[in-house]
Amino acid sequence: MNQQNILRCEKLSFWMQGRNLISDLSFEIKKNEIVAVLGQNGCGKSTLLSACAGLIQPNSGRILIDGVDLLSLSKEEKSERVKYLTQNLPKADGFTVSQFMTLTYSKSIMRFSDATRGHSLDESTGAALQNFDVLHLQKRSLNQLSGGEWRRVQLARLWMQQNALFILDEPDAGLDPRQIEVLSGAIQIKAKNSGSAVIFSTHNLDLAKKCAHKILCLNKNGLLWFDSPLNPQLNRILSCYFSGL
Amino acid sequence: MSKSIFILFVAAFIFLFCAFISIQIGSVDCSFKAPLYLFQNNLSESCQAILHLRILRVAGAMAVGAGLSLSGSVLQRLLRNPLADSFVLGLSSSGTCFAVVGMILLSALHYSVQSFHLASLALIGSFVALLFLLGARKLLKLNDDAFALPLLGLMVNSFSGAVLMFAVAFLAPQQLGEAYRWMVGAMRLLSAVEVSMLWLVLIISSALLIYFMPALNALSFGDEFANSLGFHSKKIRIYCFLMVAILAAFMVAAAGTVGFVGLIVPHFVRILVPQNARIEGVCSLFLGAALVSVSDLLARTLFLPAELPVGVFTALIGAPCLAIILFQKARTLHTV
Repeated sequence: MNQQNILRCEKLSFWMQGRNLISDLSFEIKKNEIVAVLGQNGCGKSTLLSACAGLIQPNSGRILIDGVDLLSLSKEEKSERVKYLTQNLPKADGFTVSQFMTLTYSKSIMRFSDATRGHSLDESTGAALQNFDVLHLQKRSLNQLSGGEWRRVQLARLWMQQNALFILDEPDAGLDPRQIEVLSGAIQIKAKNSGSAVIFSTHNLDLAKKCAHKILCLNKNGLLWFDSPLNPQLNRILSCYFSGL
Repeated sequence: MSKSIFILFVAAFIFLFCAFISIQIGSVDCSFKAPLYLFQNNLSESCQAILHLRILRVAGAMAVGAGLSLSGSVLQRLLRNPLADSFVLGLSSSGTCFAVVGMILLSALHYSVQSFHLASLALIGSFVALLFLLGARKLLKLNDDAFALPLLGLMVNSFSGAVLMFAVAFLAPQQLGEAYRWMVGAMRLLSAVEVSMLWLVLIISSALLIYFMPALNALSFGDEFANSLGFHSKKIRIYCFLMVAILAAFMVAAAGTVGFVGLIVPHFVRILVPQNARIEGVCSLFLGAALVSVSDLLARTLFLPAELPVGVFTALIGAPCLAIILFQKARTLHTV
């Protein structure tokens, strides 16, 4: 087993309501690599990503994180190694941004409440918020955030973590062009950390080409492309992608 | 001392104060400084008996209020729905329905119906409603509880309401009063054993719930989020539902359908202590107990010699309070 692989998917298949969503998909992500997942709506990007995060199970095939089968990991170990940004996180009533930032799991449930009590943020939290330009919102209630601001707060929360596989489901949704620029830079910095890698889905080709080392393009029939965006063949594939084939 | 600890102490003080005045005041004036002299011998026997009964009644009312408001507080987090409580989900009405229908069947079979039977039936009814809710949730693969479960609760509520109306037609005249008491929520006279059982259930299940409450903070952002933090959201959810059902079932068995307590008390506490699950739980316990004991006090003293059901007063106090809370919430939401 190659130790450099942080994620390895072997012959994944997903069925949904009798429909074959993804069949026999195999790919690997190495450490410090950034992979962008492209594909039309409903082709299984989110399904694939949430399976990699261990939230759903593939109908067949297996997923290895750092060479260990995802199924054999406990919930705590999974959350330690995989950081997942979901597409639609509901805003809970009454939380402020800083309270949301300090929600963590700890073995002792007692400590959990202490973390949410504190209103002052520590340095790393502040830096993460600053990173995504949302530090000024820290006292705001979540209900008062716009879609883009809420997205950036979630990203900031994720960015406090180190050394993990970051799985981001459409991180650029709702962000303005300047914030996408910020996100692109942040992803590149994050992936340089030892032991980290980033896989994200997007509909933004420029973002994918700019920061990803590899592009994974899915269509309704399965894997269409998994290679570097610099490969001249990519444009032919992407034209298929846009023409709806 | 932080603000939330201060509020906790205030809530505890209100709890004790309400307990004191509820025991002090009653339809019969015992003309001494109750309850401090309860265990002294210089009391007339009748006064001792009255005080004994009154203490049992107040203890029962307080347990009911505490249990209902804690279960409301937990359910609102669990279902991510600010309007959830055991009443909305149909646990209370299903329990009432079972008790009343059981009363008819038992007396048709010439059993002498005792309050113990009815309480057990109410327990079964609440559990049946819970099993239905959890089963439907699993069957329909409902991931977003926020709307689905209250809707299912609405179904349970209207169905058991219809069965109740149907059952009332078959009741013997002398049973109508008893059925009415269940339906509107009135404290009945509980025996010392019943009251201590109520308190035992309350203490055990609320201690467990409060221990697990902080995990509900993560669950308020959805199962997926809680899972990705490393929580076993499924386990926590089932476990909490079970505790809430036990609590609600015992409270229904003691007092019938007492509405609004589980709804308004947690909302009120949440305004004072925003998002501290554990403090919110404990404050809800205290203030829920205070609210129901005061409502019960009003119910039994305001229109002497008539005694109104406590559910009437919780609704009279509760509904306007809920309206005020909702209006205020809407206003803070729009003035960004």
